[in-house]
Amino acid sequence: MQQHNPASTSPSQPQATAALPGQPTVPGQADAEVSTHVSTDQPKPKDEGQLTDEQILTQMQAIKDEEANAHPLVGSSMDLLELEAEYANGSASFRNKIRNLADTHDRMRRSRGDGNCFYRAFAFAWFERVMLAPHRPELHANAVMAIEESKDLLVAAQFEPLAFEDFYAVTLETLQNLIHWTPDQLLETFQQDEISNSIVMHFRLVASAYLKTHPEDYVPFLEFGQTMDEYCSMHVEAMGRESEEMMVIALTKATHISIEVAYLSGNESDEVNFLPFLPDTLPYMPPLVLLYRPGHYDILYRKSHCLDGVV
Amino acid sequence: MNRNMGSTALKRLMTEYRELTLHAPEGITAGPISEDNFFEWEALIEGPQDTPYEGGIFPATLTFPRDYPLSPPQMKFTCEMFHPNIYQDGTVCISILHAPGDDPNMYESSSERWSPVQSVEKILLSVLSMLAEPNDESGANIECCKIWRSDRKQFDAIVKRTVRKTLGL
Repeated sequence: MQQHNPASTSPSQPQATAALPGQPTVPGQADAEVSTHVSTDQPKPKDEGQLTDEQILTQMQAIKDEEANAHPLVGSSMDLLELEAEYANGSASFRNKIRNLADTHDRMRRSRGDGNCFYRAFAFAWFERVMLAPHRPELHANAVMAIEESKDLLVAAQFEPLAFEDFYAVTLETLQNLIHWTPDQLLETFQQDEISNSIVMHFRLVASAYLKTHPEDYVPFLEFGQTMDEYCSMHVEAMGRESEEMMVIALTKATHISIEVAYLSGNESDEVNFLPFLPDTLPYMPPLVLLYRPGHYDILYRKSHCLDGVV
Repeated sequence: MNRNMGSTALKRLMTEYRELTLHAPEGITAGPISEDNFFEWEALIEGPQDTPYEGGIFPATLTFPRDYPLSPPQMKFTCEMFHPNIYQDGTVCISILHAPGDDPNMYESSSERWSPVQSVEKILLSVLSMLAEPNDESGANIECCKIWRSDRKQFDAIVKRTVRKTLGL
């Protein structure tokens, strides 16, 4: 669970008026992670006056951790209509959107709202896709190749090997092993902090490396005077920092994986907007589909993708 | 596939220790207090030249979390330290020891923050420059900040006294 005041958590949102290269703009995109199923009340320490700032921060972190730990890093898949039920007292347009979405997308999977939800949802959706397609061994080969290539990108962006080698190794090892796993084993792997967070970190560094090696395309979207290095160290390279559209674009292009994001926004329409994020190369498999609610990403399953074996 | 909590941290800390042993930056030595526990280090920091800290050798501990390097270590001097960015209990308060978003002292937005791209070496180098150039915008010892701002002679005199103490003089 993140802070409740989105304004306090999004000091440097890219200008909403300008569209990133090749991408439509989403108005009103909040940056704080939200989730509808967690209490937002944070008890205040009783003797607040006597605590140092450090102690207060430690306590706040402990409260956040406790809330986050109530939910797995990646959940089991669930019927999309269960999500509608959570909005029983919410806006009618939200419920209508979910019902309309359910015509074409039957299931969803939650990614924990810890600021890493986009990276984790992306990695799980991709790796699961590869695992559930043993009849298409090229998906696995392409994925392994993309991860191996990502190391060259990290080197090109001048990251020191110390900074990335352990995360890279865990990500590659997971990908290499998953063809021998059951869907349950993949889920359990992504639920382990140690492995799951290493994979998140790898994709954070890859997104950062892509932005740093293509500054001419993306610097115009930063706050005035901010360098790409500053932006990446503040918003991309540290765990728990929420992703903005720029990171979705960067990861799409760096991994050659296309993503489609279903935006479940609070506007009055009953229809869900889909935004495609395309790599520069021709996509070799159908897009990964993510569900976006203001500030939060989950995984969505499209009926036409016929993914048997999803757990 | 199974990984024990802390195994990534341990691997990384061993690599960093090996690197620091082979190529220690000037003015810094650091390593685990005991080979049985890589999550507690001791560092010795030499006071930078042309500062009141010159001539001092300051011991500090670094305590690493199980999810290092995703989260930063804490650093605490174990000797008496008089510095605007060091709490009276010795805890060091500089931006590189805080992840972005974790902002107890309202650091400038361009200041260096913790992420796994940082390292023990980079922390200790930041601490060296902190000793040379205190940042009174994000003070930890308010009394010390006041003296540093208003009476540099007195500040220097107090620091020199602590330097002699650390040397056992």
